[in-house]
Amino acid sequence: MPDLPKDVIQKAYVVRGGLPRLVLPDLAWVGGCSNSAGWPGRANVKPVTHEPCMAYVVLGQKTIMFDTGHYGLWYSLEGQLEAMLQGRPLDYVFVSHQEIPHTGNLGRLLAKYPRAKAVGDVRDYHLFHPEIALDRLVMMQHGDRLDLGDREIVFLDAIWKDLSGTLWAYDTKRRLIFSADMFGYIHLADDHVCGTMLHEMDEALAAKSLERPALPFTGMRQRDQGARVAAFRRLMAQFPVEIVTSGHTAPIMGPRLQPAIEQLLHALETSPPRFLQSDAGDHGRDPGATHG
Amino acid sequence: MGDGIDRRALLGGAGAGAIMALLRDSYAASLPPAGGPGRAGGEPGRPPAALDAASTRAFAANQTVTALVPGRLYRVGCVVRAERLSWLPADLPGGFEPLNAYVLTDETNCVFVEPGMPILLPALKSAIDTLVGGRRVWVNFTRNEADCIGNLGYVLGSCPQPTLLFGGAGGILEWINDPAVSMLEVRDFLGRIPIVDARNDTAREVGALRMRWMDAGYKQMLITQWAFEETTGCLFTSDAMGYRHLAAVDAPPVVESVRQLPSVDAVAAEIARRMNWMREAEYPEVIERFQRIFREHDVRMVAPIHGCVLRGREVVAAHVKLVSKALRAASRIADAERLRYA
Repeated sequence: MPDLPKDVIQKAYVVRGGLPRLVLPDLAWVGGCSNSAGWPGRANVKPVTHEPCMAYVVLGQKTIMFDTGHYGLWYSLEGQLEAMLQGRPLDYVFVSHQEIPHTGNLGRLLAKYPRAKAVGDVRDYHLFHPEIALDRLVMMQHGDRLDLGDREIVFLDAIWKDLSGTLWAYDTKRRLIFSADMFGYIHLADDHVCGTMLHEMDEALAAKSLERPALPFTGMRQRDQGARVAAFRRLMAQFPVEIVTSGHTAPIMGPRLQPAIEQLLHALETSPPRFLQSDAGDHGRDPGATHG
Repeated sequence: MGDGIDRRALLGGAGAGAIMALLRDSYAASLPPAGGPGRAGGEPGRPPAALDAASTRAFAANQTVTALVPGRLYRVGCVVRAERLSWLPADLPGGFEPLNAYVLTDETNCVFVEPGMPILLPALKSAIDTLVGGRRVWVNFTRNEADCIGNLGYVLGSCPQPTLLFGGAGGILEWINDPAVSMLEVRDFLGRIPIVDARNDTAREVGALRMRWMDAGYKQMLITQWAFEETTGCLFTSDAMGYRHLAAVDAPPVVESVRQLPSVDAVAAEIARRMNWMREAEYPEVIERFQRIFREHDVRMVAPIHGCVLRGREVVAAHVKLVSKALRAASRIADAERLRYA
């Protein structure tokens, strides 16, 4: 069972509802939670559900931001980013896929950091951001590498994806994977875990947090998830994972990392969520569904 | 590479130089260069101007508003090169792709169905200028992705007293609460713009328009709706059923013939590009559902967000048959992610 990285920065301040956090000297966690409840037309009033909408900044010799957050986050995200970069330029923005909570602020970021380039599967982005010069949209495919000076970022085909073209990113120095929509978790407002990592929670709260995975992937029961879990295990053998991040989760690391991974993979193999509205009913929402 | 970027896969396999040469040879990009004055995207129906040779912007041509049913239904859109598009299995050399938004009108109402991708904004502006007038504005979209709601902020911000016809999830409203991105007309629209329920399996009369919403016949994203307008017989199919492309930039973006149908395999490949979960999956209930929608509605037109509009009962029927076969064929396409890490 891996220990926490020796240089991990434990909670420096009370972050209930608040980010950014410098998680490691070279890893900043930015973004915030969105209210994921409030379904129009529902008779019952549901408790406020937080959907983490996160982005990360790797502060290597060059800097890269993993995803951008959604439109509504911009007015807090901009200041968070400035605080974490401390005057450094943002060199790259990794766009995991086109969905708004993941890359909605790409245009704003590239306008704010005029030397930054977007990297990822950048097909279609010229349609959504015609203001961006095409040479700032750099296509990456599975296996491509980006040199940050002190590490490489490896782009990996996402095994679970909602929009086609989703890529994951792997930091070779930190052995960190940014898994887009995979390993996302939602929580209730009353849990008070915004901005808190799994290893900072007591055991009961950590267990509760892992009970609400956000898996917004259509058709999970319509095909064999066992084969995909096996593919993920092969990925981890090739790219050892010590930190998991995603667009919808706090960083997962340390002694709770492996159990969290195993719990989710087991759930996928044994009881994948029903996300086709045609067979799910009740507006197609399972408790773990968040968006899509 | 000096900046640390491995470009061997740049632009989906095509060299950057080749892409830029295409751009230099092509018609006008529709949006103004950064910091520069606006460049007209072209009046509806007029050919676009030539592209500035120094431009590095995306290509878009034929920004038009086309009457599909005069006085009632309009296609609002542009045409782009059929390359660098995620929904195509490969670039189509020499091919073009229509990108679409739609507007329904009656005497007193104007319903924007799919505000569309930002690159078609010049056409949308023309539609607002020519179709809104004193009409009450409604906005409806099939899914909360940039290809459907990229111009949502512009419509909400520039039209008088718009109302949102919304059938999605409440949390999504928070994401798009500031949808204008670079156009800050409508920051914090929640609480200021009325939101009217448009859930699946509900119907609403908007003046003379009779709207009905349903779960999409097939889809990639969980909360995707299709909308049907009864007086025009138009089914708005979001990111599905846009499998007819253009061989010329100025070809009409409406298919009215059953000749030259694409092959089942070609359509299956496009379906699998969008609905990636279908590869190696089993989903007879989805195919049944798709066919049932067309049995239960008198669909005379299919209006996707990209690809050609399909007009006429015979054309629609031929494509329903084709897509049904292609949906079955998509199931037999290899699951690339499963094989990727072998």
